[in-house]
Amino acid sequence: MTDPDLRRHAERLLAAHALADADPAPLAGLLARSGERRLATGQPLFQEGDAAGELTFLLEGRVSVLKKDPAGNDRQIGSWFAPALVGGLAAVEGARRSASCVAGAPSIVATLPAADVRGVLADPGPVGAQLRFILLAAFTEALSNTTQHLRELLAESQAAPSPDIDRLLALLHGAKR
Amino acid sequence: MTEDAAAVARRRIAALGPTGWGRSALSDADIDALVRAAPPVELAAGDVLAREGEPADRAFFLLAGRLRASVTLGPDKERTVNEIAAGEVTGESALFLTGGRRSATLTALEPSTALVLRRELFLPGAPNLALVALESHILAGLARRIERTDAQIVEAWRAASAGKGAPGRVGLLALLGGTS
Repeated sequence: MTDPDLRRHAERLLAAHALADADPAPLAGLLARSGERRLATGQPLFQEGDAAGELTFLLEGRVSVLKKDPAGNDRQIGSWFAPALVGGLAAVEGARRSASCVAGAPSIVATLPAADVRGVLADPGPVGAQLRFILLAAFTEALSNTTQHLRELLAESQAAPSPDIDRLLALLHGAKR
Repeated sequence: MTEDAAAVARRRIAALGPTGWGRSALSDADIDALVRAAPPVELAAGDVLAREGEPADRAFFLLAGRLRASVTLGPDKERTVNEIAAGEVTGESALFLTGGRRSATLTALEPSTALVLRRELFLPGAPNLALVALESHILAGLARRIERTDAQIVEAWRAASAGKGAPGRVGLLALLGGTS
């Protein structure tokens, strides 16, 4: 990617995570250290159960998030649209992938190895601060999306939905208490 | 802020250090700077820290004591849906999703001290390892909630495939650790 491309992607990522006024240079520098991958529609980004290897910035396109049900079938539990940060949970926690991600459209991603991620996260300077803020925002959004999916499941299964179920779900994902 | 509240804040923040990514002890200067930027509030038993329906623009790091989260179900009727213990952060999404309102009232169950966390605190600024440790702590808490919600989705699928229906309000209350 060219420097203007890196800067443009950094600006879009920052704006998507409520940091529109931030200097894009630190994040553009991080993207320059990342590996670039282009995915065709249907191509997997990673699979549920894989060892966590990298943090993924979705720069262009869309990925579907799939999780195996008890019968072993993949079920879609959400989507990420660019610009977004994908797979942060496994990269930060060092856990295995909790879901699969598959390109839902032609996509471009930048991937940063988990070991590098932890080094940047420990950095108190601007690049660490930006990555931590983006991760916090991405985790909050992921929790909101997952909780919304759970809400829909519960609504489907309840003949007489409980009036306070939305509030309980909001509490489950820690929303604005 | 009393000396006691500041001392509690410094001790609790210092304890975050070894669990942060930096794996190094936090300096007094960084801890003091964080306490100045997010001054602790002291609550007596029964004091309300946040009220259901208010605009949500800050989170709380409970340094000492215990909080009750309750929701209103009708006139003179409320339900406790969670308790927050010392060391936990609550309301984080208020920092990163804007425009929401409090979904529950937070009341001190005993004398308590909490750091008030505003969004501005987390914007890139002067380097501070104590803030890095706090951010690590918040991320870990969010990660646990995501994993717990994921597990609940799988449980809902399992229950549905067994013809039991998804876990309803009772199951959610159990998940929240709430009591009636």
